[in-house]
Amino acid sequence: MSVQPILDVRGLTVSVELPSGRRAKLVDDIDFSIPPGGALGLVGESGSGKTMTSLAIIGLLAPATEVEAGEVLLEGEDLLKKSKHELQKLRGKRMSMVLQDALTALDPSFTIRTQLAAPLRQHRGLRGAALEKALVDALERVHLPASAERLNQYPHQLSGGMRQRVTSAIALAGEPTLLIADEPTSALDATTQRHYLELLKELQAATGFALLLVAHDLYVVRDSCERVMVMYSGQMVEDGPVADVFSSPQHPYTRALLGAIPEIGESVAIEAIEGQPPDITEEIAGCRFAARCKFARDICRSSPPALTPRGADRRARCFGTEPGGWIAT
Amino acid sequence: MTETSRTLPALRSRQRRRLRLVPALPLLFLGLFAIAALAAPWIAPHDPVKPNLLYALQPPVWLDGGNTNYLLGTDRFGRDILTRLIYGARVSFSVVAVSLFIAVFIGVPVGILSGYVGGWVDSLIMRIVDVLLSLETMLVGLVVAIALGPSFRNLVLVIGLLLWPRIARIIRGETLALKNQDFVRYSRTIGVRRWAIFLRHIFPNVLPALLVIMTLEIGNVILLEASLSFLGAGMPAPRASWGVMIDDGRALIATGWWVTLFPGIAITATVLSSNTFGDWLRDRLDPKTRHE
Amino acid sequence: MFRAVLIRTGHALLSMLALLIIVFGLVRLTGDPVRYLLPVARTPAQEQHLREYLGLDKPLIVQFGTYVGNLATGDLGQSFRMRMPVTEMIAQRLPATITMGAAAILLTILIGLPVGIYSAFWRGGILDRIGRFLAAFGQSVPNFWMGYVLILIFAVQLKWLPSGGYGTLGHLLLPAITLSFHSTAGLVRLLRSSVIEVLNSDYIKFHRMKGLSEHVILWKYALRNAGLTALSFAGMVVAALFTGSVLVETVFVWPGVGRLMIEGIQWRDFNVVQGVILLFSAAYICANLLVDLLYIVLNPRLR
Repeated sequence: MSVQPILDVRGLTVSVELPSGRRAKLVDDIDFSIPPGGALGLVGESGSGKTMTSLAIIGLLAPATEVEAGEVLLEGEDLLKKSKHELQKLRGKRMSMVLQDALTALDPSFTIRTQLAAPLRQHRGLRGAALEKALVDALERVHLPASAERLNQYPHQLSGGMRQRVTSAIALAGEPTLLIADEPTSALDATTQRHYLELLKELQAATGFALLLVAHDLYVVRDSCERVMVMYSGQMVEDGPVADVFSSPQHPYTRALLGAIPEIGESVAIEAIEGQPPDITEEIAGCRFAARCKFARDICRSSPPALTPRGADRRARCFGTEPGGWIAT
Repeated sequence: MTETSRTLPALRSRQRRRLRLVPALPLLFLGLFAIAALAAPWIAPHDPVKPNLLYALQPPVWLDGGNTNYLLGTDRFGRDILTRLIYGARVSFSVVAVSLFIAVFIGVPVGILSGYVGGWVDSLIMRIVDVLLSLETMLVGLVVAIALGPSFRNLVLVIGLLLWPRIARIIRGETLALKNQDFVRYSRTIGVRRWAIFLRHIFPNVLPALLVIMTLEIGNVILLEASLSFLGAGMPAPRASWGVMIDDGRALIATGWWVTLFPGIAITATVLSSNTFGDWLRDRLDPKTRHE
Repeated sequence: MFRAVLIRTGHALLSMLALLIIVFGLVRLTGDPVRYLLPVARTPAQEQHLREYLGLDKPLIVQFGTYVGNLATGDLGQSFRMRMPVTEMIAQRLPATITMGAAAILLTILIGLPVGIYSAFWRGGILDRIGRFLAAFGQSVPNFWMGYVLILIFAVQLKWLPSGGYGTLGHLLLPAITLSFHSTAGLVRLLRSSVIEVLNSDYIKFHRMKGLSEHVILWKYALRNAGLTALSFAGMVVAALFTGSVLVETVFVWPGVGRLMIEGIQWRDFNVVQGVILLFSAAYICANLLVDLLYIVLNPRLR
């Protein structure tokens, strides 16, 4: 790629210290990049490390967790080399994040105006009439009806869908080049969900930020992203263009997420993946998914598969789908 | 965030291991307190009340003029401070035991009734509870003391009668939560009698919360008893209450500080122990109220 | 919102009524005041006359009506000992108590607020652990005893401050510190736990993601949210200050209303004791009502 990517994550490893003193990896050697205006879907079950990945990028990991290795390049600058203070200056201005639950993401004690004005003042230096105009503009951009009125309301006076629009307006107030959306629709009902994802696409087309969309549901990602990356138990198990991954998944876990296992020919819901992801404290010799995998063979339990290419633009971590493997794709 | 919550049990167990001093030290002290209270007549070296003016205001043993016979010194009537501290534990202990018994005896049934029956019964009981809770225990204790005279009976009655609403309110909350749980609903649908549901399902399940609140109230009751006794409205004077002892030392602060100092340390240590133990117990038994 | 205010006010009035009944009943329980007021050599006719004079021959309900009626006009009766209206005696002593209480509240806020907030912010650190232990200690120590310990250190040993009395700032310092002990400890514990809860919330995370500085987050957003929780306990703090003042005034020979009540107890001066208790309780109930109303006003979710 000749164009410099907005976000380029290389070999990111996040670990937490266990009571035994050993460090367990929550995110294990992840790399991906997002070009300007591009959208990447990051998919996995809860506990797969996808939220950890986004928190590591934005620099807000919980105190016990830390980045062990890797680089996080935002427009070529390594965020991991920056001080806390420098990171704080970047947040909201060049990278921003929308949280899962808009109900709890908005401060209950302050009006929408106060919460929206803070980033506008800080990142764009707006004051007075210009600020006033920007406030209304920001809400209109996310199609919030009666914007001027909404400004003086408190979060509890808005509906769930409206609150998520407001958080997006706040997150985008500083005109960031990167927006991370961490399961932004999981607290919304199906219709509102679709509207919100459409809004996100529209905003992206208008302002051109790069989007990292974190979801546990592959279908949320399908219409909003060009590329998708699947995580399982802290590892990347598959990535590639959305259409290819949907049409021919290269990892049994992705298949399970898609809810269709061709060999058996019956539909299985995501919840129906049997068993639990391995505990982070466990050390596993082979493939981390082997215990739940219908196709697993002895080699899967004894040695760990590597992330290997599947064609020009795709990778997967599975012995069964490697050339000469036993899983038909 | 799911990821953080997955790491939490690990962190919490580490914290527990480091803080194991916390249940041990308070428990040890509360044990000493209970032993002193129960065995006072056998372990106390002297008589707690009989004056012995020959040995008035002896300093503690480690000071000049100290006497091994009176390890912590004597007060202005020549009474042994250590002996009076041990008997003081007996006073605090019995006030705590009797007043908590009264409070639990009223508070638990009323709380269960209020939470389980609901409706106007619940509204009425909660209104009464609110009103009683708005009364300051110490002020009412003072009025009763002057109206009826200071005595053990009046003291425990006042404390017990003003304490039960707090217990009732907490038990009511627990009962409300239990009432809608499946095993209670099931018992109701198969026609188990109401009192049997109370006894078999509700009462055993409110016990942890009851234990926590009782432990946390021990400190309050001890402080209350000491304060009322200090003001002359609690235990009548010659009795060896810790509050009375501090009052005894009032005029002697310059010449016989030990008379005041030791009972205060005894109160602080006992109250601190029961509060810390209560907090620990709450974290253990009642995860809802855990705040970290 | 208006309904909530009405309900709170109704509760406060109900509490006042209950208190009146209790005080009224207890005073009647003490027996016939005629026995105290007349000399031993008295005739039944004299007793009867005095009873009629005091209104004790009327039915209880009428007596209660008169009692409440007198109260409503601000008449708390006469002191048996000083032969002057109780209201006047209270008015003389009130400024001293208010001075001490105000100083204690000031100290509580000046010390408790920063310690509680920093303790939460640096939780787990060494300063936090010291702060937590001191708070637990402060809640366990009897304040009247703490007063003597402070006297022993600062008045007897170091001779820096007077051991008691009233008048200068030096006289005020030790009593105010003593009185503020419990409330400071309570504020620290309460603020610490509510700030921790708030700091762990999603909205604080989102404030961070906007790029706001930790300083602004802590002192503007976390404090406002945690302050609401802390405020709901302010009524209890006020109560603790009142009852505490009775004890602390006794220790430091401070000429306030608390001391007045203790003198009343020693002399069995019912009207004085009754008057002070009514004053304290009314102030306590009003403080609680005020806090409740303030809470409704400050909490946007209740508006």
